[in-house]
Amino acid sequence: MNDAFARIVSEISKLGMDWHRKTLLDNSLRNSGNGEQSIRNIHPINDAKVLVVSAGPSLYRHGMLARLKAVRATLCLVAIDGAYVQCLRAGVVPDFVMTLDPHPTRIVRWFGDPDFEANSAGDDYFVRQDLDEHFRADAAKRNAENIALVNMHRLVSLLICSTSPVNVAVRTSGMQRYWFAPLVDNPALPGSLTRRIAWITGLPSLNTGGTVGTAAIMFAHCILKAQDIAVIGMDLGYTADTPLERTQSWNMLKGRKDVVGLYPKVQHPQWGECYTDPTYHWYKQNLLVLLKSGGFSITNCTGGGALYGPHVECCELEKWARGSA
Amino acid sequence: MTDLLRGNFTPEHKVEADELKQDERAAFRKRALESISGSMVFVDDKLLYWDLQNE
Repeated sequence: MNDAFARIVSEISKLGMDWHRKTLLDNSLRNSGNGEQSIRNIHPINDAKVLVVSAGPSLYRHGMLARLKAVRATLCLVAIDGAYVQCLRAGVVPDFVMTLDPHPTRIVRWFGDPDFEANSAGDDYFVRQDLDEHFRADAAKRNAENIALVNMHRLVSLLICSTSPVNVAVRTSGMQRYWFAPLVDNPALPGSLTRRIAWITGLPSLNTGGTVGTAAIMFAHCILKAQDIAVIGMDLGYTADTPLERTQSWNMLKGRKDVVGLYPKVQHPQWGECYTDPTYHWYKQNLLVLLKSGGFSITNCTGGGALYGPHVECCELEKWARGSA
Repeated sequence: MTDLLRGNFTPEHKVEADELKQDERAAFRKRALESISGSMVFVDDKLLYWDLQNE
């Protein structure tokens, strides 16, 4: 990792805090006092295996959802918002779906966006990335189908962050919702944003590690009290053939002379070479630190990507699901 | 007092604020926010869960 890469990674957290502070407070204030349940009301499942389904491109590259369908019966599933409709399309209904991102126009698409055209105008965030190839091919038609699919599954439990934007709050209002607040700093310190949000909302706070996939893992550990947690679709890296322009960090890094050096190669000990970028590296670092702090491990069944390290075992989904990880 | 605040030596070279770098930094910040808009902030690395009700 070169100095420029390390410097960018170290700046991401502060940028996020500076930018999100007002949004986090405003959204939490607006979403508070709705009288709905919180994640406190969810009972531990203890000995069940919990699988977190993230939305990385390995989901379709490795046919993970078809494979998941074959072992679904034995598992408790927590899908992140970006993987939810993909699961439904594959005939897999998760037990929980999680959403936390405060972005005002992007996130609602994961539930089928009634204002899709307006919310997509001038935004290439999803078009560039390799998250859902079918959606890219025919976005408007796909969006209409997603609206119908989500409407058909209103009984799925939604884990929703107090910081969610108003369009997500409205769009999911028919679902069985359990609210939580984000743990974004140390609540014991003066001026803590976490404490302020908790005071406004009355909600318990969950550490997100910067991304919804990590928040889902924290939910499985802290609320479900799961002893055996695995993930799929958590690539946190790009296959070697992914063009740089289709990475999450491209808009941040393009135009720099040292751009190629900001996408270092990663040699996964089990699944071979891929490359990463500052944003994905930051997510990975955060997750590894939280696993260490929590003193627990997860199993990564993604089948590719950059996630490995202390407290992360890697194996195939079927092997883990059948109990021989 | 004003003289004291101004400093008590003459720089060897003329010093000018590097406006271009400031612009570059602002542009980078804007681009970075576009890229990480899918992310929540993350600062605390010790506490996984906290409930004000338990205090």
